[in-house]
Amino acid sequence: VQAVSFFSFWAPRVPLNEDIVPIEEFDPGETARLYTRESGMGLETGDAVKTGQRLAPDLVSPVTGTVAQIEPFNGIDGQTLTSIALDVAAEEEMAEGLESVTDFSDDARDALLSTLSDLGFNVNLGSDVDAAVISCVDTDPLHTVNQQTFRESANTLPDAISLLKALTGAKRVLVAITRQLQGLARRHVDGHAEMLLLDAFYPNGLPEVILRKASRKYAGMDSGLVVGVERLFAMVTALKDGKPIQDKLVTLSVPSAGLCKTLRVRIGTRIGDVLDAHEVTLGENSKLVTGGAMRGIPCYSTDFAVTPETDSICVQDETRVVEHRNTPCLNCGKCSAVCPMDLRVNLICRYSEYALFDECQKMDVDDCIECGLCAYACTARRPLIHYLKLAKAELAKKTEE
Amino acid sequence: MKKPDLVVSYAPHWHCGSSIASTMYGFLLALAPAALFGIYLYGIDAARVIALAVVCCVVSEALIQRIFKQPVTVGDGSAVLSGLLLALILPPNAPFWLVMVGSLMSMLVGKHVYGGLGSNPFNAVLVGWAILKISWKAQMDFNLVFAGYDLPMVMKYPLGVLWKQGASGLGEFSMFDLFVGKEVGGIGCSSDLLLLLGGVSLILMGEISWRIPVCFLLGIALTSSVFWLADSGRYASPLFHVLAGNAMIGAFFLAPDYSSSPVGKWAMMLFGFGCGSIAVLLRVWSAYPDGTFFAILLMNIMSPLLDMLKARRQAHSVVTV
Repeated sequence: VQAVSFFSFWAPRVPLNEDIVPIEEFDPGETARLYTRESGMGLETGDAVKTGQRLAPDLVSPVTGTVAQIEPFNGIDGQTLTSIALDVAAEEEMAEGLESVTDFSDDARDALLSTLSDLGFNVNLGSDVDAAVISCVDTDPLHTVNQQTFRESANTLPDAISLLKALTGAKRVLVAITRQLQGLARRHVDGHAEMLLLDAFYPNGLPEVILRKASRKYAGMDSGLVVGVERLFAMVTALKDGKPIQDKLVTLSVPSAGLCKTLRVRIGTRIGDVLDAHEVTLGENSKLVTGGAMRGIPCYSTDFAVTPETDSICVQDETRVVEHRNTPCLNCGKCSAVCPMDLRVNLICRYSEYALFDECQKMDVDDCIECGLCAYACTARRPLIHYLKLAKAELAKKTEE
Repeated sequence: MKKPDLVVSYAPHWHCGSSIASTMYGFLLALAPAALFGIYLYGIDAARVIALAVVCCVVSEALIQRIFKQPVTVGDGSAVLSGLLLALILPPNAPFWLVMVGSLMSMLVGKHVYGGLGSNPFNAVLVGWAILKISWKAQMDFNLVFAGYDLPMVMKYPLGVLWKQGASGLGEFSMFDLFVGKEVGGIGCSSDLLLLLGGVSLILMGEISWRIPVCFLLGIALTSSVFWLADSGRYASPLFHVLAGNAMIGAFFLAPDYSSSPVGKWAMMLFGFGCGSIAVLLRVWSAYPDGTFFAILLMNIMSPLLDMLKARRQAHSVVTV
């Protein structure tokens, strides 16, 4: 499904997946592995855990079971985490004190926030925003979770709009939608939100890009909040049922096997188990990526578990793995032409290559959203995202000092 | 069982599939019609110049890279493209040594002393051409070199006629002839139609932006209209200026050269417009009938300055839940 465009109008365009990929239930296994940023939570091996029980300040158990193992763990992106392995019990037992909320009115904000936190949603609203956007557009060409969620449960939209209004207090709620799903959205919006029509091309589903488009349409919009429809609908369902977040929609994409599925996977499921169930074998020098083709993070092992942030699992065989090269820049300018933030990527990356990070700062490198389009389009196949991340990291280091 | 080793190279995990070689071959393909038309017009003479220039460029690039202890990259097709472009702007009866010197100078002085592909501040092909033009005036003078040819068209260089006699001498040239290729000049510069076709296909393939060529031609048209409106007896019409001489090959193939042209959107437009305007000014006031290539070389100097132009909206503060 690798998009190769020869006849493009200057910029190679990467279409989003608009196919109907029905959500399938994935049969969960008997273990679950959870991650937390905290350490020493007073939990010990052998402890019984109930569904919805708080295990750490940032972690609520999605299952009932016993703690099998607690160990320090290096996350996919190198963060220091603690991994908690649970043996799942056959009978589910709910933790006490969980309650359902059906009042999504504006005065219920505090109650909603505390209940959401109890249900395992780490909602960080930050300061007040001019607009809140519900994005039904996927954040990666591989992902299907947002569009498929909206396709299958669009009737949750009115509740979701009320919830978002109550949580953020934003005067304006927008629904970011592609042309294909526009009609469906219009039927359910019911005048409570405005529509923001987006082309079904990457990176139109990324929050920064959505807000840029929105601010072009509506004057005086300086800050905004973007939430994916899948996550927001999960909040609505959890609040109504009084049940913690237990599963996550994940797109499984294995181009070499022609496999593309939207799966409902229990949080904590080992990625290797998902692959085994679909008879996907990893060959030598293949690549396992979570989080999409453009911004995803490669995994060095199949033992990682699905987290509430895992939107996709993709396996590339050896022939599809992209090889970056250290050839000098041609200055063809395709990187700058595709940049959704209008950065001078060609200049920034050359400055970064020669450690002229102050020049990168003058060129607004901090606005880079690492969408990956520049490196996708690079004629010389330079590792542009590496250069951009390097410049940002070095500048951040400097600011700290 | 040993687990397979997984690749963990960083995002993005897709690539559009283009490469330096595919880009260069795209350019070659776009130039092919004009080159073939040149061979059709001038026969074996033109084929000889093209073949010699391409071979000389490739060989000199390989030698230079070997001497400079750089990896030899002639396989990427950029030297082939330089050779072809140089041949297309030379007269068909250029002596072999002229072609060889031009190719060597393009590769050495134009490209590799600066560090090779992507690092040259001037269009490498035009550097080689300028050295020839200044050093061997007689062999490079389109008013003289076509004396031995007899083709079914006006055997005078249109811009040479304009330079000597003013617009009053242009009566024998029809605009249609200039457009389809009944015009003497560089091997590949005759047919504006085929160059336009190649150039537009490059834009559609995404290899070059429309901004430089369009603004280049606009610059020529607007600047020449100023003169034309002032005195149409002495100065040629904008249409003539766009169709005659090296305007078309300059606009689509030489000005958008990657490393010597800017990348910013406004920078590209200013660059193109500047090239076009200066080209007309040089045609009117300089010692050369066609100043298009010198205009491009002059604007190459401006390119880094233009790229410092900054006009973008600041990013918004974004919150994600």
